Amino acid sequence: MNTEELEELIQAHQAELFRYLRFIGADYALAQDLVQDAFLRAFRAKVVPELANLRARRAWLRRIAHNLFIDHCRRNSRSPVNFDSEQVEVAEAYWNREFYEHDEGFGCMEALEQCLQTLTAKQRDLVDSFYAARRSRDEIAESLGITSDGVKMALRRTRKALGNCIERRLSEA
Amino acid sequence: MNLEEQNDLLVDSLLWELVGKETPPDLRERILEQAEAEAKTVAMQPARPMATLPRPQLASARPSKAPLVLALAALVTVLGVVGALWQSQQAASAALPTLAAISGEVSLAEGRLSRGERLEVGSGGKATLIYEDGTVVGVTGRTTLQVGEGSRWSGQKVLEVRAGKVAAEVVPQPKGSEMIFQSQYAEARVLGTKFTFENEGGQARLCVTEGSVRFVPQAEGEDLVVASGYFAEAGELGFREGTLAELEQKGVVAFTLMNAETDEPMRSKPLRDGEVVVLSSLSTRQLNVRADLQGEGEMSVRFLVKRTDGTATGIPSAAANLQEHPPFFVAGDHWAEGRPNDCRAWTPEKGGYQISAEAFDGAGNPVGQPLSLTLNFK
Repeated sequence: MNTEELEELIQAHQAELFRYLRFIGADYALAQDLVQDAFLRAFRAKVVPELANLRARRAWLRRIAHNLFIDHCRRNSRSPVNFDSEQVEVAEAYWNREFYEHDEGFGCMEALEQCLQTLTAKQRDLVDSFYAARRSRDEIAESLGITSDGVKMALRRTRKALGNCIERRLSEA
Repeated sequence: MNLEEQNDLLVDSLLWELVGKETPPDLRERILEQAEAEAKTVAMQPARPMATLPRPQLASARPSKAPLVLALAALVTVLGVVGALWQSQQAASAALPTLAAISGEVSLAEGRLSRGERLEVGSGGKATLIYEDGTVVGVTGRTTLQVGEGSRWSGQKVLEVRAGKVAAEVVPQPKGSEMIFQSQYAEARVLGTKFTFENEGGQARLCVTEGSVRFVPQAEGEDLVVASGYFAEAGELGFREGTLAELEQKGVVAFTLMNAETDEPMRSKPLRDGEVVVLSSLSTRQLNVRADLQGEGEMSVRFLVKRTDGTATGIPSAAANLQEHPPFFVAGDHWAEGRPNDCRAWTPEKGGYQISAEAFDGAGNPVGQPLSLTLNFK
């Protein structure tokens, strides 16, 4: 593979790989590093699949990325995520089916944007405080006068409601 | 990990991207820099001498099948290379349009365009581009476009609209190889549909009349899918989306939350009626709100701002006078000091606000309907 081909591969697949790594548990900085490593590993590869075949090149790149992620988890015993290769395969199949197949994920994004409008003011505040303002669970707990576990549960319930809403909207689309 | 946990992880990752703005970064330059450095290092290394391997002992004196196998392998390789070349030529040809019909002032003659070639259509001129798969792009007057570089493997079509407007009818494209219309403000990625894409007045605007098109603003990586009957635009005034009917509206059409420290929008999307703005989630409390106008001719704007509890808004009373010079800011600007784009800082108290704005033409007649918005700062 030459650098021109590599550039096209990066352009076509970097966002997809990044989102996939975030989904399987990599944080923002790790996903960024692993996307970089994955493309460099692809660039060095002696055996490259037929690049005109979208399905083959996507699967190949995703495999490289998730192998790198597993290596990272194994090397770093403090890693918050404990994934074995079987679990990653299950996760990959789920991600492909539930996310990528919906217009390369944009269907889910659009559905989520609409579903966020259906949240109660309290749920929306919680989501904004945690995801937009990046306040910790403890900080949110203190301001709401509940426990940190209570915040964790509330966030989980909100995500579940959003997940159900996304599923409903995608099935109606 | 069970299904429920996977659902939770997926929504969590979507929320980080959509609400937490942790959009995928562009790592192209970083990766290519390293790949190029590696390629150079490999090229500079002296060739390694071939290791001498012990020759395997032949088990018997029977004639070997190796020459036949080698010949077959060579034949397969040659066929593979020829096939790949043929496929690549087919793909390259599918990515290039043919200039099929021209009238008026057009910079090129009819015929196949090549990569990088630029087409200019003068005022009152028209041109039609046709691709091998039946995709048709109509180019209106005062438009300049260039045939871009798509993926070499799949015959991806790319047109860079440098200025002006195109109307396209794109037949379904292979997945992963959407046709791309580019401008400096945004891209439209199309799998097959009818729409217009224009690059004028510092904005790129996509209007979809059939199917759906992905719109990718250059400034922020927030892509969205624009469905039939809707438009999206991005550029110097930020981002806006809505129905095609809204594009026909005149006067004040949107409000944008501004960062008064930088005089830039706090985010590309306009404010929504009833929106809750969490002050602690913003990078600054030096704010203002801009009224965005649509329509031709000079317009002036009058604002009316009230607190829902009736207390003072903290906005200077002069800002409620008729503002005659764009851009129009709820809390005023430093136009009198010669800095029209420098909006005054306003730090709203927490609570509800009602903002309304009405546009007037040069003769003082109202333009369109007044636009109102309720905001809640928390």
